[in-house]
Amino acid sequence: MNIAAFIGSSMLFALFAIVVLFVLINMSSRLALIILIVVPLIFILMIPDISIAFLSVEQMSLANGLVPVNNFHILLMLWSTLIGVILYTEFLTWYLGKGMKMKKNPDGSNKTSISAGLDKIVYDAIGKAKRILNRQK
Amino acid sequence: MYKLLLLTIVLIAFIDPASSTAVREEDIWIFQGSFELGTSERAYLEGYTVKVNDINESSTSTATLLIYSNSVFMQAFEVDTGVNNEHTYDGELKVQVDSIEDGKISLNIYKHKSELVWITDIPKTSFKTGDSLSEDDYRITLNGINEGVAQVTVRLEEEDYERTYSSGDYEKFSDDFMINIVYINKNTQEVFIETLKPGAPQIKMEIGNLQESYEPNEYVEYELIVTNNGTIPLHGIILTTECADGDVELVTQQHSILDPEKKKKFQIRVKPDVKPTSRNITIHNSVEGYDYRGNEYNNEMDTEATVNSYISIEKEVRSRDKSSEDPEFGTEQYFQVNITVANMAGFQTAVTVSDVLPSEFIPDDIDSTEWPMVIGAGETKSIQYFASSTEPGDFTFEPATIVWKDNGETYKMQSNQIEGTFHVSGSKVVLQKELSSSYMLVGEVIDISLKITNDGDRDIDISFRETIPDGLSYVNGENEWEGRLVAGKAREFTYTVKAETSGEYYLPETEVSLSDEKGKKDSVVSDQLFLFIDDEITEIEEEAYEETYNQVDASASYSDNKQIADPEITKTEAAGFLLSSFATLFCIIAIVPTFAYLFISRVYK
Repeated sequence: MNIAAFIGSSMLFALFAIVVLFVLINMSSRLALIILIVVPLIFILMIPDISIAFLSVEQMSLANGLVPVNNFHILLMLWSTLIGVILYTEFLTWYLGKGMKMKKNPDGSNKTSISAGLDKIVYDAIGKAKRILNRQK
Repeated sequence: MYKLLLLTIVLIAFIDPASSTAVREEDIWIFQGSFELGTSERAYLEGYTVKVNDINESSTSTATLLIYSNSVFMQAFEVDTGVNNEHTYDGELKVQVDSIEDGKISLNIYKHKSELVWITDIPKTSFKTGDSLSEDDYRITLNGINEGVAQVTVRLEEEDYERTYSSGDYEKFSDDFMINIVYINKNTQEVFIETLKPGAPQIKMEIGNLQESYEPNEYVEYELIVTNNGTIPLHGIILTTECADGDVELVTQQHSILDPEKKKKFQIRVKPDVKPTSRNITIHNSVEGYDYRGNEYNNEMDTEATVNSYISIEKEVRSRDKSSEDPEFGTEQYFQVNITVANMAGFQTAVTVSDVLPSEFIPDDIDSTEWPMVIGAGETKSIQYFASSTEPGDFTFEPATIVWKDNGETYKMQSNQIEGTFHVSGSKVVLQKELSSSYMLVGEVIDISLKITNDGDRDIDISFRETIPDGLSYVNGENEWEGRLVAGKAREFTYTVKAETSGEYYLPETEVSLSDEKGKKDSVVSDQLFLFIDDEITEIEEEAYEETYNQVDASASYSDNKQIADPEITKTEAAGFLLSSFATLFCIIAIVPTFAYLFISRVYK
């Protein structure tokens, strides 16, 4: 393993992750997602040789050489992580926002719990199944 | 007859040595030397012998001395250290007693002699009336010549002396100046005058017969040649020899007289101290002597002599021809090595002698060329062994080494350098067997080459026949040969074989039989060579092979930690690959939140 290449690559990836997370927190999750895909693409299109060479650098070789780990693999892992963070952030934001709306419901109807809703869906599904079976008979 | 008589008279007149030397000589007591003698001991002088008859050490110590002239007893007399301490025999020999003590009498002996004292200061010079001649401290003026008598004024030390001299007169004005009227010519009114002054001896010392080096068990012996380079004789010569690194046999040596331009050889003998290393010892020689007036003259000189270590080692190498019955093939000479070590000290010493042979040499019948041994005092030991060379050529031998300890310190010495180069004749054959390729397919052909080199200096008859293993078939070329290989030449044989069946093969060793000019036989064998014959492969297999090869190559690049910049991939493809990777990851990760979103939306609709 080339220590210098490993340290240089790690710094670049860390910088990339910090930028994406900064944008995610302070600006927009969608912008962060765009940055996540666009920045590598720009590098690939602008300086293809250097970028491909960078992604091809083997940082380590795991399991006695059976699993070589290149910068490309690291990029994929970084992408996976950050995509997950962005998506779940977005999802949780939506979910929490929806809960707040229901608390402020002006008609005063009862709040339905998630487990009660789930039971209803299950019972509806079983009833539908019974009807379909009776028709066939 | 008359003419002959006249010639004789003229010759006598001109060549009368007495008249020329009488002026220059003086009758004086000449110091003959100092002697310290016990009872019955003798002092040998020139023509005389002085013997101590008895010594009586009472209140006034006395001794009775006997004088012999040419071994004939002449006189007995008694001396003491008081009033009667000087005795003169026959006006010729004077004995002065210095002291009488401890059964010994110290004597200074003088001999009466007429000796050269004066030497010419201004050579014979012609004076006419009124002429004068000056030197540093005197002035001579001829006032006139009257009836064969010269009137001369001598000014010496600010004082004028008026003198009248006849032809042949001379006058000693002081101990340092004398005038000699050589001849007065009445006809020409000329006076020939010379002046004389006392001469002086001068001591010159030279070393003779000094050897390059001396062994510690022998005397450092050489000649010291003392020459009187002065103008008058040197008396009472005493040579003193001192040496801090050894014992001088004769510390003082005496010699009575040394005339001008004469030499005296003194034999110097010094027993050097025994030391473990070779070193230079300094011997100090000083000579002192006296002129007729007792003025001392001296000179001194240091002599350096090299004294060897008490351990010595010598090595000798002799080349010998092997006997014709010797069945051994190869070299024709062997070597006899003689190493002689000696201990010249008065004590025994434990030493280790070692010798290094050239790398091609093997000693005969000995395990190593190192011999620990004890050498007794004054003992000499010899080591003899034989060694043979494994191959012919020119060789040089290194000196042998001896190591020993003295007073806790280790000393090492090498023997003399072995001069010259030793030649070993003989035969040496080098065989090389090679394949053009060690991998081949069935049906292919390869070349097998044999290179036979004669590195010796004798012609050799050689023969060989190659054995071709199963799986290979002979195609063409030289796979057997018999003939003579000239010294220094090489010959290469190549033959071609075809692969018949696949498998792993070891080509058998090739044995080359050798026979030298004397009919001695030997052989040389090559290495075994490995050959892999593969099956013929189809095109599909070839493709598979290529793929395998590429994979292997790619992984090799990975493991080398290098970039795999595939030249085939374009930036569009790379961007597309990245984009698709991103999309794939996004979709996979988004599955769970999407379903959760749909579910929650439906529940709370």
